[in-house]
Amino acid sequence: MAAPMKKFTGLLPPLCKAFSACCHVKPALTISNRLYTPIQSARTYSILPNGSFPLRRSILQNYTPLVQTSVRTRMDWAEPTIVCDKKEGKPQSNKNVLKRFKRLNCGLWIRTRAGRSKKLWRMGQQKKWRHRLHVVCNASQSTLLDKMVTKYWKKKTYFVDDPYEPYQKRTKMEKFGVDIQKPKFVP
Amino acid sequence: MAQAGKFADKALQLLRTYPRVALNNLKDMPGAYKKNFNKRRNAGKGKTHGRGHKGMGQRMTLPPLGYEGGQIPFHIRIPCEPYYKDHEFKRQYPPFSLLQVQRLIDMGLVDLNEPIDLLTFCNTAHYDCSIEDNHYGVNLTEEGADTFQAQINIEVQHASEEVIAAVERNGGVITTRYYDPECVKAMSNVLKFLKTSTPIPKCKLPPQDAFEYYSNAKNRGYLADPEEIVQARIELAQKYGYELPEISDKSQKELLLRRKDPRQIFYGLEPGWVISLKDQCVLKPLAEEHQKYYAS
Repeated sequence: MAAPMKKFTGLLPPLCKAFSACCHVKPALTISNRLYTPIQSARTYSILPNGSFPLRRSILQNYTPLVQTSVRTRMDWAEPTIVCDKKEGKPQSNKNVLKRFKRLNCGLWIRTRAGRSKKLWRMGQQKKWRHRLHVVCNASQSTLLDKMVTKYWKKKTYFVDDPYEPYQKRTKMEKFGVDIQKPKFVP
Repeated sequence: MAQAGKFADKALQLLRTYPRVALNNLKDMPGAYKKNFNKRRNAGKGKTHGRGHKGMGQRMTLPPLGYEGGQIPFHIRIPCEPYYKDHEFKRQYPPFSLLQVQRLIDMGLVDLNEPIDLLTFCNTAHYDCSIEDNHYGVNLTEEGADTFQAQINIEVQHASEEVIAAVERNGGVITTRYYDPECVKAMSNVLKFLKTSTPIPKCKLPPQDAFEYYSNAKNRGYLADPEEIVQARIELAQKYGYELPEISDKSQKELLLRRKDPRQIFYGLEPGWVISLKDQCVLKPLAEEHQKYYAS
């Protein structure tokens, strides 16, 4: 029992080193590409202080944890909103929002559904159809997205032959006690 | 010269050793630039300025918008979709309904003895068109098409089939016309354009993606063949079930046949002319180079 335990403890420090090395630099793939080939890196980190291989693994099995150890920092996920840019001195909108969402003239935001192109072989026909649809965002989500985007993207648009034209106006708001479609005053 | 004092003498001695005053030695006066301070802390009143006691709120170290405690945020979790592809280069046409046109005629804001175009819409101040927002003119919509009763010669930038039928049923004429951004800017605010005292611009031909629309007789395009338009008028009358009224009045006939040149913007004025408001006269180009450039 003692011998395998020793081997196991001996394996930990070199792995930890590799982990910490990847933490400092953001993309882990670039290190392996530039400095070491994947085979080299797998061998160096898996060798014990004795000089022997601890476990009989294939090269790929050693390679995969190295790639996946890219730890993202806090700022990677949510970047702070830019109130005043250094170059132009203007507020700037979040690029991630404009890539994924669209604002309609009535103030609603639309989006696609997450996981619409993942594991399609497992989905039924009805679920596939449901995932293809575009849906409207939540109230709390839309207020958040409004803050992330500048004034330019909240202007009304008047495109001709627009596919989103029937959705630009809000309808059926009578049950909430709001009459949006008031008759126009014509003298 | 009597001695000025111990310290003054020392200061004068120092001055002689200093370098001469030049551009590289100059320094800004104190208070020349405003120092940025945090307005959020100063604004408001009371003890804490509405920020509470202690913590991230008072020290302004709150996490950025959309941060969800380390898990993938909502605005990154959603897959990408090219909603805003070429958004800045797309042409926009702000709508104006037939009911609003009828209203302008009833209120007396539009003169029926002259043809209607983008300039008359902008001059009534009931319509806004700014080229800064990529607006390229009027899109006439079919609201109030059943109650429309006026014989007019109208020129718009975009019109549907029902609108064309509603205008021609009353014996009117409609054409669709393209204006390039420089012309739209001149027409949207005429007084501002005339004060610049620049020559009237020559209108360009429509771009590649709009050329098909404006050269089609079904859309009553201004580049279409006039013989095809006559045939298209009869076809549309058969489709909607009305008869084209015959016009006997001579003055009315002249009004309906008035058209602009494809390079012309204003009625009665040609491109290249300069209008001076101060002297109240029109200046025309005389050089051959200018005449060749402005010729259609």
